[in-house]
Amino acid sequence: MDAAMNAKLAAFAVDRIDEPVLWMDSAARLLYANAAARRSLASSADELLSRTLFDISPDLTPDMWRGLWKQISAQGHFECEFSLRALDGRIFAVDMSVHLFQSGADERACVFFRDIEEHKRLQQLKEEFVSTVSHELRTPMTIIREGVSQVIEGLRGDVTPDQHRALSIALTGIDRLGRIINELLDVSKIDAGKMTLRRERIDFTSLVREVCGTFALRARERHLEIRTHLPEKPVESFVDRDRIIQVLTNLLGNAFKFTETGYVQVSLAVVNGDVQCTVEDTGMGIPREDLAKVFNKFEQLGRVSVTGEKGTGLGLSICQGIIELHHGRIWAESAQGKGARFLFTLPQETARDVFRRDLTDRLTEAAADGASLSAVWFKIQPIDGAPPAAVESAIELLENLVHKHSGRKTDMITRDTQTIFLGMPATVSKEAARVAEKVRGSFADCVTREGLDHQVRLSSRVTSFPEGAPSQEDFLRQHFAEL
Amino acid sequence: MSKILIIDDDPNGREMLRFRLQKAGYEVVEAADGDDGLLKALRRPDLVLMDVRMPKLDGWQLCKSLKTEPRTKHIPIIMLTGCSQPIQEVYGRECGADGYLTKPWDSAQLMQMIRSFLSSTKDAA
Repeated sequence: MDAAMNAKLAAFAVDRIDEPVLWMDSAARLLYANAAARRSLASSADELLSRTLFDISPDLTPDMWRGLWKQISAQGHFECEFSLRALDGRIFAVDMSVHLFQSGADERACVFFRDIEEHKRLQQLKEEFVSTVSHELRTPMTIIREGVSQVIEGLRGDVTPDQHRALSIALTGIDRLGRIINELLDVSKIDAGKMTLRRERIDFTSLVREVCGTFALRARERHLEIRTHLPEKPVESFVDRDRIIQVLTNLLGNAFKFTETGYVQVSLAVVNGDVQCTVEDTGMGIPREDLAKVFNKFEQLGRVSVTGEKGTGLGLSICQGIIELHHGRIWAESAQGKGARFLFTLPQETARDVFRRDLTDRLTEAAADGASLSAVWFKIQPIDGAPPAAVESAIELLENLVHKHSGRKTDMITRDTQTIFLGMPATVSKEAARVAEKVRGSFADCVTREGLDHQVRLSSRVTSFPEGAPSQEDFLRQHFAEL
Repeated sequence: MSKILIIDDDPNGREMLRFRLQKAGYEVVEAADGDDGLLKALRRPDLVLMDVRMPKLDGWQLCKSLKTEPRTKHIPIIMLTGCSQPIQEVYGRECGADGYLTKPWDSAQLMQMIRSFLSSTKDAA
């Protein structure tokens, strides 16, 4: 076959595949679009070929394109989430993968993209479904649990030992069902990216002690030892306390489940600025080839627990979701018969670090969408000699007021010991100032009523992008300058 | 004898609660929806147990109304609900709930909570 024929065959095939394909040059001019791309962008070939990527992207700026092209040239290939605008005006999110084609000095990019709107919609539906179902299941479950409990407790008359045993087993099953429902809800929230963290400043050493304490009884019953290996000084970080307890409880629970003799040990250390926590046991261990699979949903690897308890197969997947939401990492180390070690690391952050990072992400999105964003911090300052308790109740009060007056789902609220950070996507400065004023007004009323007005003072600052601060760097500098 | 008002649209749920409470020596009054609950709350029970998702007036609204009405605002309210998200509990507290338990709750915990609310209102009175 000659070269011309080969080219024709290739073009024929590319035109008939379902995945949209585009060719572009370094100036973002569109050189080619296959049939799938033309359908997706609602245009004819002629219409498209006189345009650039700027014409079919609602977000792209020349700066962004220069950065993008630099990356394409340097790496030869990259993938990102991007939005496109069809010629009929429909804006849609895509997964995009870009490949560099080089021939001498000639550089072009081959682009594949996939419309993910449908996928997003399905995710949303799935999450709503799970949340409704789990809510609806709770009511009948409560009635069953209460009925069984009343009979077991003898409230409904005498119970024979056999009946008692049967009902105890039923109760175990009901409680397991309850856990499955909770875990399904967690998994679906994590999958949909909707699990939000309620971070606060905590000391990890006391948290580990507390969680280990809840296992003391179990350890005695099973003749296992719980060891802790903790630094002497507090290890502080800004995390969701309940969620981290959930992770530790899960890891310890697993360790107990799969260990017959010996000990379960929890160690804590600060490694390269990260908090590193290790839960290890002297149990049956996990074969090396299964290590990568332990975090998969519903994966139970055929391990049978020492006590015969059954898990849900969701616990470790949730742990992973929670740790990753905290920008940390979780993994397992083990060899068959040699015990298992589960390790996770979390960045050691302050409230300000966390808020700054969240804000930076939102700013990037706002810049890409050409949207505005405002941020407010509220700070409580004690007036000479005010007791710490006064500051504590003031910040508690302030947090409630910020929740009450901001109150949109997309708002980000981060609480520190004396400061509340509020980030409001898609909000202009006037609106943000109005919220701040309302909070200040209610706060003044409340502190007067509670007699705190001579003990604390409230200061605040509103910063808005792009009105007050035209670039992201300006915004962050201005916003945190006086804190 | 302390009087407890149960507000829940599900008769089976009410029956289970009523039985346990009566066995523990409480007097029980029942209401099958939010409106009925509001009326019966005006007859001053010592404590209210309420579901959240109910026809007519839902638990959030009902709780707010009871906590703003001078005749009922001192009555402790425990919400018993399938709404298990932390943010929903925050909302429940904002509406004025004194206690918040998610389904399926631990009966021992519920009874303990009832005892402690009743003894603290008695101390106040």
